[in-house]
Amino acid sequence: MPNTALHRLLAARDSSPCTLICDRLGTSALPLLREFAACALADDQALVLLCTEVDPESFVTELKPLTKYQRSLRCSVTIVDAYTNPFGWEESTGGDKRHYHITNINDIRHVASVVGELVKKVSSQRCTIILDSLSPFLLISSHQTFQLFKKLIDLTSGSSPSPALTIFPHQRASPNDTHPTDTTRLIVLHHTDILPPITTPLAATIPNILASLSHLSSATITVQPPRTTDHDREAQLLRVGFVAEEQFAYLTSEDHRVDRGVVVEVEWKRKSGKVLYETNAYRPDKSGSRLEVVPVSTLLGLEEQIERVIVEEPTVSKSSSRRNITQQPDPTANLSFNLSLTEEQRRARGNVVLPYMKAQRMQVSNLSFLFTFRGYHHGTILHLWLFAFWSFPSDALNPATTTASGGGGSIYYEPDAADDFDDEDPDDDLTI
Amino acid sequence: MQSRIPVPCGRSEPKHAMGYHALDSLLAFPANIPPARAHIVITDTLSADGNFLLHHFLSNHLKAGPGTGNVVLVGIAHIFNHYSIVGRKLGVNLQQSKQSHRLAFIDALTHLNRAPSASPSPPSLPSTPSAPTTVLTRSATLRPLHDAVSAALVGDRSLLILDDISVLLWSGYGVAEAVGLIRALRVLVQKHNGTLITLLHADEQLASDPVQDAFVRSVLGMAELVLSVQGLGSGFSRDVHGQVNLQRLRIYDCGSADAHSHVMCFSLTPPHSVLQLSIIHGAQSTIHVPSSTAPALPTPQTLHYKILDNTVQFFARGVSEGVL
Repeated sequence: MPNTALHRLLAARDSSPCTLICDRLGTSALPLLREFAACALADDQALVLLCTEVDPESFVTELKPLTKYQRSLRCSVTIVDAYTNPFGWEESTGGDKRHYHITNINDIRHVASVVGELVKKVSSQRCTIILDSLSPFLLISSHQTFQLFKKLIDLTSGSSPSPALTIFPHQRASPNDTHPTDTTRLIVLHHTDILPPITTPLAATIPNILASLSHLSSATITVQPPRTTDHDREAQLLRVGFVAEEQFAYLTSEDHRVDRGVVVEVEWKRKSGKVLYETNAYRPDKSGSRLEVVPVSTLLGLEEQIERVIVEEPTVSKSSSRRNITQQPDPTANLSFNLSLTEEQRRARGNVVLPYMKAQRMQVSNLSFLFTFRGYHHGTILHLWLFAFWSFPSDALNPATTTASGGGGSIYYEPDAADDFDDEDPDDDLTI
Repeated sequence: MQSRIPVPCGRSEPKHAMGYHALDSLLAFPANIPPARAHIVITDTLSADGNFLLHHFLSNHLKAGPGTGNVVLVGIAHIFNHYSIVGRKLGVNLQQSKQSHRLAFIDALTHLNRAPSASPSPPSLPSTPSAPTTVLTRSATLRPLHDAVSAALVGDRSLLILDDISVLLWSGYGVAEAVGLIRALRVLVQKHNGTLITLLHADEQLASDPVQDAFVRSVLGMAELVLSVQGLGSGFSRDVHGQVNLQRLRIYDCGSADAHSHVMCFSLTPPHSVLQLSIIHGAQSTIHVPSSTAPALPTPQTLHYKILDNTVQFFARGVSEGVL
């Protein structure tokens, strides 16, 4: 589906400097991350991978068959490996310049500077930075992780990043004006249910990390499992009035079913200021290696078919019952009184004069008449109107319509014969 | 209430005897060896114990042919004696395996917390069969444990069993450290093309503690396969006698000021009760494209099981003989 928000984000057709992908324990967004990487490589972009939870070598190996270009992936993929040896417990094996090892993950500033240097080196072409999971950094320090995130966003600006590492919280990445899509874009995976534990009193005052991250991101993608209604559960609820409580479990056998597809909710803050909200879905394609974006109804298609079956009423005749399978049952059938209209009654209904129609038509012509009364005291105007009403019973001087306000809120009052305007003070006889 | 001396569990289990053929056919691993480069997380609760799965994997690997590497068993919750007694009932001689270097046992229990003044610390390693390969003492980081495991892992397709990692958290290590250790061990095992099996406690009562919850979720996020055992939601289904036995008493003490680590747990599993096993694919399994290099995992499903004297019986949900 080429026009959905998810497809446009994957293909980098519109600008989104920073995309935040949020997932939870039962539904992993790793296939989506792999798809972003595959699309970036297919689009001839350089890829910078900062891996903390997934083995970067196996990630790149999985990408190999997905790219149609035959040239070596080594030219276009740079790996910052914070997965293999994050604490420096193993001896570092050296490696090539495209595979940089982080040996002290506790120094988050160093990680940010390493990524910055590597992105500078590939600044000549379009570049996608993929960060596999902020959770290991969050468990170390929330505020340093936020600074890392901010530093990575600064890398996505069109101009070359400044060498100083000072970060001003109010400074936003400047939009890239020369190219319709981004030169450098950032895609970050975040597990929303792994919350960093509060260890210091200061940590308790930091705002919610998800809110902080999505505030800085231009697009936020939240993945969810396709919600299928449990018809047995609903039927049981109707029948006996209660259902069994769900037993607590971190994971059930229904989780991580990649073949069932995933529903995503996209929140995309465009450069124009408009925010786009869309619900899309994806599932593995026929080969199983790529993802295809599908409409949400496709994943929940079974549900729609079931909703169409309506229990037939026993008194409805057989021929009409077939018609009613896809229609609502007729509410005017089987009543002891008649709700329908004959032709004569229909015509008479059309000819009824509505009470205030004439008054509304008169309003326009009376505006000019009203202007002559300006400058008079309000009480005088009322008496003049009343006098006009009694003296000139024509419709043109109907006092109820001579009001300055048009349309809604105006009060139409026609005093009839029984009305008696009494000028006496009704509270005169009180002896308080 | 809190004892300074960690009391080892002397489980009096008459159950496991001949191995679990039903479990083998359920998991359907080729040659009954868990898949290479996979991390299997076993989660259990107070009402259902996951140790039977550990003993099963251990005995299967030891009985396997020479094509597999050795087994490294890290005992953080039990001492070697416990495993050897259970292993004898399953038909494997752990002491012999240890002497032939097919099995390495790392004792991370007896000296992990502050050692009592009566016993020597650290003990010199006698060469008796029941002595552990290595004994770990308390340290600021978990690096010694990593180094001990690294030294002990030998050969291709080896197996590393951690029993159980919740104790690390309860002993006062931070979440970041404990999760970092599991990740580092996972990398280590993948280098040997082996399998990592960890046992984790995932009770509902622990989920309200943010430290425990973050730890469980982080470890589960690292798994390729999750085997989750828990009691039935409707309570225990008892046998005819209706007995409830207090089977074990585990007291864990932490030496640090960490407020979350004082836990006293005891298990109340009636014998022959029906429990639930769920086989779940982990988050790390979703990234593999379908190909020959991806580990072959069993189908996700939920089953009921009952541990009997000699074996374990599996049946589909709701069709045990006590119900039908």
